[in-house]
Amino acid sequence: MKSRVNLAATSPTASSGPATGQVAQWLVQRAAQRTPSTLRERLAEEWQAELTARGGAVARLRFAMGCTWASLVMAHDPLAFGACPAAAAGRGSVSVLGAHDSSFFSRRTTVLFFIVCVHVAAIYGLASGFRQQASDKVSPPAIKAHVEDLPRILEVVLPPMIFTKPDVKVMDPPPLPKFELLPVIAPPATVTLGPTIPPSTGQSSDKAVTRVPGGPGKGFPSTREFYSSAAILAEESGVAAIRVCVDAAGRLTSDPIIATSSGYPRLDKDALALARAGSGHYRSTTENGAPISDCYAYRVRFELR
Amino acid sequence: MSLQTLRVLEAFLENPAEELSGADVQKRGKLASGTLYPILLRLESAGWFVSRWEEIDPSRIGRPRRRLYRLTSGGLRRASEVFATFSRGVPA
Repeated sequence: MKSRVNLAATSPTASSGPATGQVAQWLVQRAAQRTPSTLRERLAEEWQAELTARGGAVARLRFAMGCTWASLVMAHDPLAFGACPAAAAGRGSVSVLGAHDSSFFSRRTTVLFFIVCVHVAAIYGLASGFRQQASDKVSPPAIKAHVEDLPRILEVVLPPMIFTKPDVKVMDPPPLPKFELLPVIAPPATVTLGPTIPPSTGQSSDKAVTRVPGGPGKGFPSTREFYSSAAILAEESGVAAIRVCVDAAGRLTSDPIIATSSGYPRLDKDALALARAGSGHYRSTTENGAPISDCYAYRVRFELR
Repeated sequence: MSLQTLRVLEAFLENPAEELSGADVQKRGKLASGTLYPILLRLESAGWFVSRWEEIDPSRIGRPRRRLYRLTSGGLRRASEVFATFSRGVPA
């Protein structure tokens, strides 16, 4: 009782914030009440004395919370703490070494408690939709104020807007290439070979051969794809004659060559590339309707529109 | 025996004859009060420590009396045996 009288004089509330001191003192008293009855009064006085020795409000609160935890540990295992004054030497080793590790229990329980708290807070937040409510409460007045101020600000700051017809020159579109596959040069469209004249007999033959020369056929690539952009930019145009040798199936049998240059190496190169790409799509020359291997020339026109 | 218990014992073994309050042990062992008091009381219950009230006049000193703990001879022997098993004491 003597110590309790002195406690009032040296209460933690005297040197720290009254609320903090009272809370810490209340926590310590509550903690002491939870301990086994044989230790209750002793720990109440001991912890009050230790609480008084603490310097700041935070330290006192920490100490009080620690005492609360200590009381829970003691309440969890009252047999280990109920007979303190009895110096049972034989029991000592068993009690000390076999006792549960309060620090481990503390750490594990603290972590579990923290996890549970986080989950509860998250579930509460999701369930109540407090973010939406908060934004609904806060945002409208702010937005309204800004929107109401906006016309006035625009009137003051911005000059009157005058719309004039912009002076825009319409540019001519860039020239487009014109492509044209010209008919074969050398042989005429239809060549009829006349009867060979025998050198000495003076008799004429009754047999005549109808020959139809070949050329670019169905599925032949478009010249548009082979008109190089460099040639277009340089505005190069012209006609190149290509000589190709084609088999009965319309495939090239040798590399095509330039029969007549367009005057521009780039266009000649484009024409050759086109001729190579068209292999398999040539129309073969026919004799009496039968396709044969043959060599002929055709022209490719590269023209800018 | 837990690391915290070893720290409590180490605090007393620095000067086995010295009497320490809970605050002193807490400061030396760097332990939280929630960990310290169960250990102190358990060791006292096991006979490793004895405790007594500080013999002061609280009204004259201006603070309440503290509880002081001291190793018993048996506690000192056992604590020494425990630490003898370690080659390098208690890690910090």
